[in-house]
Amino acid sequence: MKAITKTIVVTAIFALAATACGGGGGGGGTGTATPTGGGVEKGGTLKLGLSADVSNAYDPQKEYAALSFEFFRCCLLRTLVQFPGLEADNGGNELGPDIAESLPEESADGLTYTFHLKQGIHYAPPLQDVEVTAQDFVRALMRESDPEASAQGYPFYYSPIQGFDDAAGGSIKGLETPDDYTLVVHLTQPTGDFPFRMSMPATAPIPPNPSDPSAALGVAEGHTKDYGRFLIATGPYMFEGSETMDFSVPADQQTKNPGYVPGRSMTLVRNPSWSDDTVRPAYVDRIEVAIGGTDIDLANKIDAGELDMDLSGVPPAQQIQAWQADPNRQDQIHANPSDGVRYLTMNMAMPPFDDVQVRRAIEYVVDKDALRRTRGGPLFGDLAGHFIPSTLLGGLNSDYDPYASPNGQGDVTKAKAEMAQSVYDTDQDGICDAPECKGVLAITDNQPPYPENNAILVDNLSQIGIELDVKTGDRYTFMYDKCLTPESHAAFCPSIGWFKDYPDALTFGPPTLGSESIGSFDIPLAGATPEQLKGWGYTVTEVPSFDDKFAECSAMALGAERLQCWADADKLIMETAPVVPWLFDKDVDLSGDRIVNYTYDSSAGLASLDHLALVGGGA
Amino acid sequence: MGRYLIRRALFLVLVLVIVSLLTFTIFFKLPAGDPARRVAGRVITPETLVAIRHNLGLDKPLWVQYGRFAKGLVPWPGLFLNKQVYFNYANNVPVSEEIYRRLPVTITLAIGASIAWLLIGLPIGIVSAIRRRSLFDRAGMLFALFGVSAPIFWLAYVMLYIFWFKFQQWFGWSLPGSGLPTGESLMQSVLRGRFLLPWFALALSFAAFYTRMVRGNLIETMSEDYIRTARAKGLAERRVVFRHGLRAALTPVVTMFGLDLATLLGGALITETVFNLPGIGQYTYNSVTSSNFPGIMGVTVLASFFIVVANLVVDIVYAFLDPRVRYT
Amino acid sequence: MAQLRSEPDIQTGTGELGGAGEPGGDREGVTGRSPLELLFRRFRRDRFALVGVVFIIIMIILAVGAPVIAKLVGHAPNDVSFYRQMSNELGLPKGPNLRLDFFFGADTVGRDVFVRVMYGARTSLTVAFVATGIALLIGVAIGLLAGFYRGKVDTVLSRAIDVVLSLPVLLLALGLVSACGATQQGCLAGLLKPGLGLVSLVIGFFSWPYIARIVRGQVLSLREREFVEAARSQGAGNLRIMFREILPNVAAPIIVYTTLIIPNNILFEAALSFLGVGVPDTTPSWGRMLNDASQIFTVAWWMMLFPGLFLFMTTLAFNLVGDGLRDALDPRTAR
Repeated sequence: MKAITKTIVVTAIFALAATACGGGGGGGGTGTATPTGGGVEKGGTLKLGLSADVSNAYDPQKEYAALSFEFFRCCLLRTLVQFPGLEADNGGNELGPDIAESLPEESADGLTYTFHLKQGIHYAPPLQDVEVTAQDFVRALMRESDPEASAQGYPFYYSPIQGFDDAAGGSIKGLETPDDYTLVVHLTQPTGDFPFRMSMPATAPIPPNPSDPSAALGVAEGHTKDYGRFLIATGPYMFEGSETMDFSVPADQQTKNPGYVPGRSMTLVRNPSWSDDTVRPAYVDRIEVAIGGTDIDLANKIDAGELDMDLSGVPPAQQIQAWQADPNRQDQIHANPSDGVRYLTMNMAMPPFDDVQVRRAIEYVVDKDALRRTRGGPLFGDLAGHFIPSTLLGGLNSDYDPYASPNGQGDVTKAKAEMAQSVYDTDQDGICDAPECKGVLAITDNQPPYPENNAILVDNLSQIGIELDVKTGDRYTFMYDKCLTPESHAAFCPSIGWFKDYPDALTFGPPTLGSESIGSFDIPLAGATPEQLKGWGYTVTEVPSFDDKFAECSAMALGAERLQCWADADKLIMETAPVVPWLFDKDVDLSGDRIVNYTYDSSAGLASLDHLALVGGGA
Repeated sequence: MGRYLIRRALFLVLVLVIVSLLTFTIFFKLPAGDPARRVAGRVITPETLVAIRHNLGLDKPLWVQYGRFAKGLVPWPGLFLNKQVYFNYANNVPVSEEIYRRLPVTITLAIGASIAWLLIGLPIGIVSAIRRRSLFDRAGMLFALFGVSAPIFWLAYVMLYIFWFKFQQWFGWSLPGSGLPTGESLMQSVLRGRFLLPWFALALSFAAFYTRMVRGNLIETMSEDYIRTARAKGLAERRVVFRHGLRAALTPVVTMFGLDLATLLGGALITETVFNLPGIGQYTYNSVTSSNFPGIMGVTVLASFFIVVANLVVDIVYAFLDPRVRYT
Repeated sequence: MAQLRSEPDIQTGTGELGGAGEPGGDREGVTGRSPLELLFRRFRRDRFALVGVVFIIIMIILAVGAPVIAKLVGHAPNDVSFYRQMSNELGLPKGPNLRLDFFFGADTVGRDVFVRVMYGARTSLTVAFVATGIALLIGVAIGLLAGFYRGKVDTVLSRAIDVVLSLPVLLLALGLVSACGATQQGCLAGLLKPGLGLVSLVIGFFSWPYIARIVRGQVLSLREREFVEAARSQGAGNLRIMFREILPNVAAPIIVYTTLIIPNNILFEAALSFLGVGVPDTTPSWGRMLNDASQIFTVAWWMMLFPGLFLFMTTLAFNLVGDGLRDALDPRTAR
């Protein structure tokens, strides 16, 4: 076994041991098949509320957000390997086997991974007679390689697989199934974090269609746009009424899964085929999800006992205040780090942000404490002094805060000192007077608390002479459109957040500041070439690049050296100051009175639904 | 009568065409956002965007795109709001599915509110007119003034504050607040009183207009010659008012009622947003703010359709009520 | 109330402008008074309407003097420097605090609600007057043309009026304002720049049909009158007749109905701002303030009460004035 895989296995074993010895609130998630911790009973109906639905109707190749990831992991889909759905210090970030018998074997050159599947695992009704085989995973990756099917997802994570980029929905050269229970993956280059990528829902097995064995994509055939409405579960739960789906008729005549009404409701019931699962306790019998309503509405329903928890939203401050004052509800308020950072971005090709002195001045002047207060205060996270969360750096850089200010409230004096060195401050008094500092186009989200954030930022930046011209709109169609498109010349995009996809800093650096993410989330345009800048109509001819550093770290094997490399990259980022990180985000949940054994899934950044139980078994 | 109907039908088509063109221009030609982005999601390459735009037909010439949408507005099965063109860009839910699901809620809201405002507004207006300058008249006009001046979104929150939030604190019981739980059927929601506050808020606002109008019309009618004749003939005052006066006074009310009801059916945007009712209005608002163009188009034309049809129906009813009107 | 409309008792012009035969007519002798003079004389006797006028004048003074007020109180409308003092640790705002001169309390970012309400008056009144002014210009022009020329011109223009009246107003306004407000340059090559101007124009565009209808009705009946024939026999051209003979006689109902639209336009702007689409964030607007309050009004009643109250009272005042004018125009329906 390669050294790295050994490390993973060893840490996993230690995690197992730690959990077993720890016991109590952590939940025995990695113990026996159906563990019951102290006083936790099975049964009952969990009632959840969501203020907004998932974005792609549970299509596993398209969904790319925490909410759907949690529902996939906890309940609907099993993958080859998976995270246990626990807190980070309880082993939540340790990968373990799920449908695979064990973590994959890695070849000496790091180019081949071999997975051995458990036998006898069947799909949920209506395909309860179909067994999960290695070919089903190939099918999932084939669908992932189809740009139309994976349109909003993350196919780039699977580019290292040989033949993936050229497959376009067809067969993939680098995937081999020597027998029904073995999957061999050949990569084009060593990718130390590859096992993590096989935990993501896009790799969940897609069953063949028993009525049409020739269909290459199995039951997903003909459902390029909406496979989620016909999803076949492998996890402890399935959509209610799944058994009514009929795959013997052509795709456009098949009836959708009745248990999910997009934008309205979702009901999950136990999957009778579920077996042999060491990852998920799955205490409750039924999960009813009501979709829609503001966070206030959901908060009221929780207080009234109609709902057990608001999964997707942020509890309103007045509800938190009431619960904090209630002696009975003290341990129902949960705040856990979500391994994400909220930050402001500056377009390094748009004056005045092409001058690093201006950017550093802004790093100093931003009142991060006030920004956090608009979200709800210290409960919602720690002020961020650097970009890549230390939890992804193995704890490194936790004291690194190069632009520190008293209480995080901003330091106007130091900001002015930086600004005075800028070419845009002609009289060097610390206040920008060049015309480029007026009418700076800022594109923001229009939902609270972003308008409040804007008011604070406008005030902060005006103290160093920068006048923002703020435009607000819908996050996806307006803000992302303007901020992510280089031709829009958006200068300042402050409503940005980024959360890990899996526990490695690779999911932080390149997607937000690597040149391959220009046109996507590299909003500061780091790594853009002069030809590109010219083509987009910018007068600025060069911008900093982090590509070399990122490439250096990505190539390293998992371990202390890699972590140190990413920590250095973090320092480089802060010195170049393309972004102003201000909050290491925490997920805050208020669990209703009926919930016991609240557990946090650090891999998804949400409450761990397969670990929640109801008092008295929901009686 | 037949020729009149045909002319009105043609007018309906004209309005729908213009509305669809206007909507297309406003939301498509000058978009505040790029719908392709919504489909593209988090990690996109420029090539993906091009591919998505091609899939959605966004790269075709404008008039071709308009044609695709216009075809979906023809009220013919298979064409109307067809799934190929009219689907939510983000999650591929067909517009027809959404509208079908949401229309009952809006209909419930509209009908309940309209009954309420007629029951409140008409009697007050009539009595105010009959007892001019009395205390009742003054109180009635004050109420009407209040209803006409208070913005519905403020009124709605004040009502929520008192009847839902404060009642809970004072009495431990309150009217239901906003939202319709998904577990309930529409009938159950109505019976549990979840529409009471929205109905009342809407009714207060609209009743005010009707009160003023009925009062004004009735007073004017009452001073007409033929009323004087009826009185001179010795008819009882009540008969005079109700038989002769009201008939004329109410005809404009019919017009307004038709328009108001039609407008509400097209979606009481603000009321549904404030009270979080999953109706057409809420869908309209969501679609506008998320640049969901097919949704916008479908809802806009639906709303216009209601208004123009209401106009037509009102004209016909008007004809029966007031034989003086001719149709050429 | 998705379709905001003005009073629907649109009489299609009886031509009775308070001339002879009016019960409350002028008995003070044989001096002939113009319809406008009669209008204002009667109006002056209406106490409620006068109260409305006084209130409007007060609001105008407050609106114009808003910067002075802000200076006196010591808080600018977008000043967030008191955020930590006027909120608790969870970010919830604090209410009226006389020691710190926050008479109406603070909002979710510590801004002074009292000062913002004063500035909000600017927004509402500006939009009210400008939008109504635009509606007036367009409406009178179209109404005059339609009523005077009749025939084909009238048919086309009347159809146009009908079409605009059938449009789903709120929806299209939402789209226009959000589309044009989202860029720095605006729409129509910079003509519709984001801000108060854009909102006013859009609102004005949707309210001109009401005035046009009234004017058309009045003109239709007036053009048959003797004084028009007399002018024509003297060799006056069409334009001259329209502007010198007919328009002055239509002035009274125009004034009345224009005033009646103002409250609607105020509420329309507030609705657009409430839905997040009106004036930009940095311009205080009562509607936007109500939107801000909508999520926390249970613990921050002052954010909902004061902007709403001022919006309500301003609209009420204009309604009183409009009612007074209309009753003065046609005393039969007076209180």
